[in-house]
Amino acid sequence: MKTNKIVTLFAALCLVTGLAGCGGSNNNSESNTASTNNAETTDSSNTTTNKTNANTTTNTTTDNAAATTTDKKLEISSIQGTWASPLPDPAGNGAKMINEKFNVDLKSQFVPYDEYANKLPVVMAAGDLPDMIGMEGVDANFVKWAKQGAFLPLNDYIDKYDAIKNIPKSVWDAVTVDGKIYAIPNYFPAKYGKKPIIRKDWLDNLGLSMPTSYDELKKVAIAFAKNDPDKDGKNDTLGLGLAKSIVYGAWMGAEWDSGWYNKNDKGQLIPGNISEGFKKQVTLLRDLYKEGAISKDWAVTKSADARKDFFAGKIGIYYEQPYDISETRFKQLKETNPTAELAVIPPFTQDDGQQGFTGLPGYYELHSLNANLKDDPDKIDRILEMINYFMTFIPVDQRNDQNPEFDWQHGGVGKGYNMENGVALDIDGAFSEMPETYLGIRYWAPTDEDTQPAMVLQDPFTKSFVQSAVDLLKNTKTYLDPVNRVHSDLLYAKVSELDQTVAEHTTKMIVGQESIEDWDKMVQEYLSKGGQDIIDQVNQLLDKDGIAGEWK
Amino acid sequence: MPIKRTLADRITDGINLFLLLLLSLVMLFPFYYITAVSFSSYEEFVNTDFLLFPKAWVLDAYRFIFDSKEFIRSIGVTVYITVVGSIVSLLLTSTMAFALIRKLWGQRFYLFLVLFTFIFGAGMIPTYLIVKATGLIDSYWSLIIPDAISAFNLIVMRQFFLSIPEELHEAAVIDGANDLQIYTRIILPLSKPALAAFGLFYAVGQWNTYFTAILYLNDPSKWTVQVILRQIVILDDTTNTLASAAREAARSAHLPPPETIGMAAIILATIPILIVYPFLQKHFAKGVMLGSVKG
Repeated sequence: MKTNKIVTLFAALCLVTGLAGCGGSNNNSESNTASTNNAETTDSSNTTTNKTNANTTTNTTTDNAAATTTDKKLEISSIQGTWASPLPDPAGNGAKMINEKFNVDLKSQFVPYDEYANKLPVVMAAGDLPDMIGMEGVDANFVKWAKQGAFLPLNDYIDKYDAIKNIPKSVWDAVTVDGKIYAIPNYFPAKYGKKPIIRKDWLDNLGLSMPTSYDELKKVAIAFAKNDPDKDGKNDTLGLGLAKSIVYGAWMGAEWDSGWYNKNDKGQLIPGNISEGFKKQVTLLRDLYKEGAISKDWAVTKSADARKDFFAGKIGIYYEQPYDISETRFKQLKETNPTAELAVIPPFTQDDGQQGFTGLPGYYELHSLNANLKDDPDKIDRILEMINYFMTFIPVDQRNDQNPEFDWQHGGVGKGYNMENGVALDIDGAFSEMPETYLGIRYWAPTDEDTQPAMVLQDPFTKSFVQSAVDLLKNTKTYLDPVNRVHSDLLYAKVSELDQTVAEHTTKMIVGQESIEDWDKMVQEYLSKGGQDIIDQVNQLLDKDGIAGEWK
Repeated sequence: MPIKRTLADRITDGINLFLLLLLSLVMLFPFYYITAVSFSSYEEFVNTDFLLFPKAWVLDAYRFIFDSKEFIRSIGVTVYITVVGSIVSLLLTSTMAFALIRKLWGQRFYLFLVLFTFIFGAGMIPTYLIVKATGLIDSYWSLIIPDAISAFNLIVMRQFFLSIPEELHEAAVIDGANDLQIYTRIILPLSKPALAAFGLFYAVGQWNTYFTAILYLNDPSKWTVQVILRQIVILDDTTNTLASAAREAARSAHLPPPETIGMAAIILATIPILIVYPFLQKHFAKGVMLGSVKG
């Protein structure tokens, strides 16, 4: 074993020279080997490295294990991306609590999502695969790895777990490749994504009513830019916040946005950005640009800057969601503009009579299991048991120190969270105290309404906005985009490049460098450069699996 | 006797001065802007289109950074790998350059190997596999050893060593010096400018260590300041609404605004390497020139 010699040699060298930072290398090479592949390597590496800790897994194959499974401590490794900053400490208190409760030795590795897409393929290629692999969503890599057999098919296991079992079919489809389920997705409400919101106080100031069509929207947006809606005597407002690559544009319903809703004359579903509906939206944006109702610089504006301007009270229409938001910006808006009132613009009535927004895929982030676990049913069970536990929904009104499960998952009152006005508030930077951080699993809400996002908010302005948005959306239909449920390799390979070209053309159309009459030419270009192949493949897959776009 | 300056000369000087002043302003301005924002309050930042003179100087962002263990620790890590990494790099580069000036058997072959890496790199995954196989994963050495020698610096340094007269070597040999003594007593003392220049190159390179840290270090507590900086600075600018939602949720703790923290972090992460620069600068210009231009 040449490698081992080198490692040993190197370790010896480090010891001799006494250089700091080297200790880690030795440890890790060992834990890496441990996490890879078969039980045999695990054993040998554990014994050779002579760990004193008797608790570390020795996946000893000296079986007849069935009777003793639950007593056996299992080492479970995971890698996942996160947006959290700072990152949770891998050896934090929350991890220790999990270890105790589930009799495991959890080794979590967190990577910021910015770089996760670079790191994960390297780790995969190097064969370093931990037991659990987290991903942000289904992409070409996920499908590729699933097809190559890197992930464990879960179809036979999930029925045993109540919370996991309840995931709806539309979401299972997203993580299913060739009929096999390869991941357990995390909940995210399909309904409560970014929605167009409007300054209702500006509408009132100008005596306008809520727009219900693109014509009315146009009038409102222009009035917002020209008629001093904030009554400060200065010409410092804009109608609609638009950012480069047309984020978010003016999506006022499924027909007009980028989801796959419209059909071509052959009856095939087509991507939104080449549809007649989208053309209507682009025409509106062009008119608004001409009238100065959107920023002259929008084509180079970052969406974060557009949002900043909206919350500074300079823009009348922008996008926000009633779920998973921070109160800071809302508070900021109310402080500088005490009269501000926000409302979601209800979706416009479409030409086909429908009325509703395109929903999100219904999940965000997913966890796959290493295919090498297939010979280790104990470990599979233990992992799924943990996922199931953390996925089990606790109703919002019970998320307090009276509920022992919630209390434990959040690291205990005073350590992971505090109770204020009957609401549990996370303590800043206490990620590492909370067991729920370490597996990255979220509650699966039985329905989107059960999430009650307003309940957990403190700031009255934010709370009232969120509540009114939820009230409106509750009675609004949501279109479930079927393209999220199939895996077309052509789509993964080509769509971003094609979308880029479309974004360039439409940007030019909005600023008047290209005529809107060229729309059909642009669509032809899209189709001939591979767009038609994508459409054919997607539709074929949809037909094969009997999946269609549906209103919920 | 001072040369008499004509009007044309003075006009040219004036234009030059003006252009150079403009150029330095263009370069200094971003720093100034970042400093101004880092001290401003969020309200002011949001409501001013172009913030130049914050009305109130707020220290919240700096307080937050100094309160957070991660940032301070990562500065420590970066200082450590910068110092150790530069020393290791200089040592390896200069010894190899020294070896390559000798008329050794196979010298051309080794030079070819060095030049080869100019054009062909192994790529990320093979490099990762090697780092893993040598057990460097999760060790600071993974940031130091794989890139310890820059082929370019090596060639330039070899060129510099070649410019030292061969007679000096011969004289030293006659005086009974061995190779090690020639290297330490003759070559190194004569090469201070080159060492300073390449030391600075290596130091700046190490100071900016970012991607390799993410790739090779699994333990976040070992990450360098640039990684932490990026995490702090990165603002929500994504077309993926779910990602932005998740980011938002992760931010929802009652932190000072990310914008000003980001700016403060940039200032703090830039200052140390800026401080080093003036001390090396005079060697720096000289060293690079000496290495490249043969007299």
